[in-house]
Amino acid sequence: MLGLTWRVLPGGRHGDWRSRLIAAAQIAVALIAAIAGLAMLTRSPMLFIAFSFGQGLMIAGTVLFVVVAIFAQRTMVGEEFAAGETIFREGDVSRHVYVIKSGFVEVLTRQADGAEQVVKRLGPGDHFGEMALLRGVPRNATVRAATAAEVFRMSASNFMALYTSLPDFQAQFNKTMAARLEELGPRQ
Amino acid sequence: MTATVAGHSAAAQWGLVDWAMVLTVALAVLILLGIVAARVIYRGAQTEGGALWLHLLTLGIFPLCLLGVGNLAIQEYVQEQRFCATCHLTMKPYIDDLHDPKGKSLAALHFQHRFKPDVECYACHTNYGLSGYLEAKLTGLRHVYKYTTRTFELPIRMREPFANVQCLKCHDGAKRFVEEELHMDGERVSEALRRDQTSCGKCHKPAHRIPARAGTGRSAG
Repeated sequence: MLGLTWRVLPGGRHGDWRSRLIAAAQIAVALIAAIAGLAMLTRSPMLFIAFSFGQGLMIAGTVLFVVVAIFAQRTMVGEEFAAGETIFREGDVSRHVYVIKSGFVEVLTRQADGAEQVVKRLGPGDHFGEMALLRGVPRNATVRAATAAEVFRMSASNFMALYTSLPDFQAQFNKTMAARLEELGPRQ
Repeated sequence: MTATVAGHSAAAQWGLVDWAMVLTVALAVLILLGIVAARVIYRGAQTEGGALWLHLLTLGIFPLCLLGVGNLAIQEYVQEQRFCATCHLTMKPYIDDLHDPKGKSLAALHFQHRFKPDVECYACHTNYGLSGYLEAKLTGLRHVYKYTTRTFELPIRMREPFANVQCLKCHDGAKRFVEEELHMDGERVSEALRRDQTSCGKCHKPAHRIPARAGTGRSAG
């Protein structure tokens, strides 16, 4: 429950300015939507006034989203994780590829007895997250920040555009993927 | 709940306002659920893949629709007498008089004849055009403030005399109105009426029939 709450709260994810703008937009829109809903249900004059004067906040939220929509799609998104923080979990839907800018991350897989075991440690310049994405399957391992880490997050569409149009890039990722599948063992 | 008032049904019929309100609530719920879903499913994702469409709905399309129907609902609802009736401490005797099937006050007679159904208060107490509309909004804000903070006094009084133009905006030119010699100077409405030198209410009274006990004392909140 706490984990779910943390995810829902805007601060639950360390993102760049675009993520924070989206979170601000969500707060603004949710607040005014809640006031509008309550105003209609209670028909309270005070809530009508609150909605009438507060709707600028909802418009601001929409504008913030438009700003993000214009700028976010074209770039890699920087994210920061504290030591011990999970970047994604085994079984999550695959949507991004990550490149480490600084710090170290650990790749963990769940053993037969349910315990998680570190199978690899990645550092600056390494990438992760591409295997599940290329194979169209859920994440096959959990990745956690071993130290404070800065990563670049690339969307699936951007990654696939590079992957399909740059043969060297594709070969490099295929080579890495084959090696990692071998490291992960027969469970893959 | 249906009551027959002066030969016509005063049933609470679902109209544009009610549908707009229901739609607003539905949109508000969709937006809130969508935002929670976006936080849970897509976390920090911005415009990648499905996140784009969910954000587009919850931060773009639904809010714009909500603003449209929400404002429509409020602007229409605040003109209705049921909104005036929400300030029950001050308005109840006026609404009771309005709904009295045997009432002889001007308000009751207008209600009985279905003059401007549901918006009787607004129709008579608001000036013409955009300026009248804006003035009514500002006055309404002051009323809500005074009512909420319980800073009004009973009996409530009009801030200024009821202007004849409020009556003339509908009655000027009406057959029965122009047939009355006292109303007219030849082809035009009499100057005394136009210049508020005399009041329509002087002959046509009472505007509201309010029990004496309802109009005394200070609000206790």
